[in-house]
Amino acid sequence: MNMAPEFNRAINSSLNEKYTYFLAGPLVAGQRQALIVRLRVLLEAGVPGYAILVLLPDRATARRFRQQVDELDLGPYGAVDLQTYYGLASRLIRLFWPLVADSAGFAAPERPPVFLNYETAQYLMGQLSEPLLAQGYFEGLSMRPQRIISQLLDNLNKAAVAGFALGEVAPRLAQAWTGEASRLRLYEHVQICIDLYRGHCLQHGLLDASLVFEVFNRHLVAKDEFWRYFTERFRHLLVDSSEEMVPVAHDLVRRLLHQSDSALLTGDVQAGFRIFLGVDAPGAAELQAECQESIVVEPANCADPHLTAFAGRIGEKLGQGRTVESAGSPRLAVVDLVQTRYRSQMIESVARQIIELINKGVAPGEIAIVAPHADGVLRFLLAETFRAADIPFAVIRRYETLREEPVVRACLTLAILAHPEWGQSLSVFDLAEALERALKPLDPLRAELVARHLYDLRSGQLKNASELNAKMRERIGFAAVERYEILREWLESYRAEEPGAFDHFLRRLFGEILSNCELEPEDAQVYSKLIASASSFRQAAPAMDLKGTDIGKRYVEMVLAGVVAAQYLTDVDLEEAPESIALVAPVYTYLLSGHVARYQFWLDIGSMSWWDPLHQPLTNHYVLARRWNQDERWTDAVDFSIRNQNLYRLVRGLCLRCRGGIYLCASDSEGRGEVQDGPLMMAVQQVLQERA
Amino acid sequence: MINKGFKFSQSSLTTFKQCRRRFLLRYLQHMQWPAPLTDHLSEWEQTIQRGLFFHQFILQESLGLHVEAAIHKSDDPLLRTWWDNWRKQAPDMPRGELFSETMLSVPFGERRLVAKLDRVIFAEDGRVLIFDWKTGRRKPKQAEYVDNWQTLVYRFVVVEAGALLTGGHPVDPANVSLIYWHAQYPQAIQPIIYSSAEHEAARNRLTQKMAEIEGLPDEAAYAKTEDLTECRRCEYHTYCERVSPRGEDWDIDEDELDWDLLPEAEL
Ligand code: SF4
Repeated sequence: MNMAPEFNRAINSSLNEKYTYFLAGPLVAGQRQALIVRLRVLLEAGVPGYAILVLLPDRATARRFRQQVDELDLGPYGAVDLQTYYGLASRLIRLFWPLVADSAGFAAPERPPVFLNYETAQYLMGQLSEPLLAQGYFEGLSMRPQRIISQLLDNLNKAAVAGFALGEVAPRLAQAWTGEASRLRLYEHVQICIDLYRGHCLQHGLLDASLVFEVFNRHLVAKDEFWRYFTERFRHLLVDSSEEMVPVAHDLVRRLLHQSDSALLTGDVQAGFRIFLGVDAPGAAELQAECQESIVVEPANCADPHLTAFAGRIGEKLGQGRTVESAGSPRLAVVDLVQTRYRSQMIESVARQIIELINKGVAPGEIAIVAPHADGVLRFLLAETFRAADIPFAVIRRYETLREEPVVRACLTLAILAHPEWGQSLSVFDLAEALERALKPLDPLRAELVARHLYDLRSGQLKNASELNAKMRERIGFAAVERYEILREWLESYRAEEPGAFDHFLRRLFGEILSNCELEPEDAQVYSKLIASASSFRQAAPAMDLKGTDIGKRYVEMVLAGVVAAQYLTDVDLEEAPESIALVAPVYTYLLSGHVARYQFWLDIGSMSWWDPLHQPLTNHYVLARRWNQDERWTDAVDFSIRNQNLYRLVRGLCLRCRGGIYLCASDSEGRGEVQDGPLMMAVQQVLQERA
Repeated sequence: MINKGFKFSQSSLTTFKQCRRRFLLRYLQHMQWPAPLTDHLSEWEQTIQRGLFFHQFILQESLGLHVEAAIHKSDDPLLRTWWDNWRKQAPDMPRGELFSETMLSVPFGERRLVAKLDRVIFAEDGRVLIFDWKTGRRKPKQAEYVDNWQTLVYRFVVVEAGALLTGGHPVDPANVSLIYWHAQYPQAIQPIIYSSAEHEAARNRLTQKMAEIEGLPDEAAYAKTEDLTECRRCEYHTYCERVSPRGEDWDIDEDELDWDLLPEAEL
């Protein structure tokens, strides 16, 4: 990505005259490069690294940024703080805990804080709300408890990142509501649950994400002692993609802005994709207004004119006003419109077109496939085709639940076998899947044979392999049977021991059984994350009234019930596979990556997933935003307009990150037979027909 | 094999000395391999936690925060003893400019050499004191510390990069000393001084070692150690097929200690 030359003025500006710059425009204008070059200028001028705060929108960006900084040719320097807002807040809360714990309302401020990960937060909310659900709370909502819980937590987070009091959640939701009165009762239930949860956290020294935001923003930053330390230390401020930050992060930046020796902020005020996390693009525009100087690079000066024109035209069709005239032609932005009857045909066609592009000399790393979801069928079909053609292919997606990962399922199955006192049952299918991993190398067919013949469904235990007849032993393979016996004996001897912590069990299972030279390093990485997650759960266990082997039991139940994973399970990141075709989902993951493709394939453009947020009756991202006008009402018209606005943001973001052209891909029906004619498809058809 | 901007540290150089394969797996391939190092996992975990807390309390104290209440309420008696040692037998801290938990980085060809310093004091009388808090299990021996990579790297980096912390005044090696202070054995190690001659010798050693590492042509050249006792305290023992009963002389690497169990959020 090239950097707009206009940015040089800001990069080389004074180091100590409190000059504040805002670089505005699409990411492709090169703001991130500008920040890196500015950092270099600061370090070369002898500014100590610890005096520079770099705020970045997410951890993946922070990782990429660090890598680029490491590669700079520089003399000696002190390490620079590259942080996300959450990372900065949680680190400083831990450090300044003795200063802030009491005033933040923690019942035992002298005890160290326990940080909750998202899995544990869900478990705790589930525990606390269960008796209320049994009393009839949220009755009439046909929704899995898991979804109720995640919306309750969402409310806590929304209040915290917008910076309003928790007690305002239900009143805000209620005031905006225009539908049936029965919903108001649900909002009352919401308020009771989240108050109960917050009270429990304060009582037991637990910090979930919402409390990290709140303690930092409301309590720590307000302490003079802290603020003195913070401003004496951080004399220079660099902020990347401010539109992807939440209002309380903007508050911090605003406050620091006027006290720093220099500040360089960047942002695209028309972007801001992670609205579901509470990011606030208009807040970035306000920061821009507070800076002494803005350098604005328009899309026309840094992106492909045809793609810009296409995005603009789609925006018009979605009712997003008239866009700036562009020299390009929307039709020329679209290389092809792939429409097939069945989804599998669409995927095949995508694979075929990609192979053709590669045969014409396009590098795989210049091709990106984006989709709202990267489901198993899509991943499998593309992976198979590209493997056969020897083309590198990487899937970049977020896991939604821990149990999606086969490694995790295998571990938990073996944990159930090792803990008969939990009374949990296993299916032959679950066991076969686990054995396939634990007894590697073992194909699925043989794994199933082992499970069928050596699992005693009644006792829930593995049988001795001596019970196999000679023929079966041979079919399974002697070496595999030997490995099976090692596993069985290991489980048996574990059961005979005094039980230890559950994450220690997982560690031993890994070290003593699962980790051998057959294990893929990627799988070992997933094990590490599972162990970290289980360990974090155990640390919070006393506050959840859990002891002994019950901790493991509850943890396993929670994961198997489909708890939404903390955000740290991803296959690979884009920068780890620069030479591969990347399949990226959801779309915002691609938009945040900084990747610019020569060709993009947009999949399932007929799907409502491009437009439709999840049905969330217990929360509302917009009503709980700081910017929401409380006199306004949440009507269908507002809902419709906001969805269109978001869809336009995605389309614009994608078009700005593409140089050559897009392939728009859809199938008439998905597996479920629903016709695929979502708003993106309709808008695309209208735009393309204009020129037909 | 080694990327531009790769950061050498005392930990990675020590690892290379112990086992080249471990260096490859840990620092070049970043392979996570969560196998236990000991049968006593609770003790291992507590050692890490205690080390983290101790470092944190010292840092908090340096910021003027009140930590006594937290220490008294701690249910870890050893941590309380350590704090008592700190109260009564902390090393001398001269007046001067104090920097805590500072990471300095100096260029070395296309790579960098970094040092994560617990505390540095630029004393008013011109001395430069580097402090490193030790919380490992083993009783430290002076001779081991005088001649290890940590001592070499820390003193070298502070001389090369210390001007960043002094407002541009270069640091004279003759003024530098490194003080290891073990929370359990506060008197075990005497300050280790430095000189210009040692600084030049350190530069040569680092140059040679880095050239040696960078000269390794492929993965195979990062050979497995011959010393099987290293494997007994190495997390990769199953990966390397060096399976043997776990040793009991495990210890923690304080340079790598981090609150990495902090949950992550996307913002
Ligand atoms: S197990 Fe042994 S050979 Fe393998 S990395 Fe560890 S120390 Fe080296």
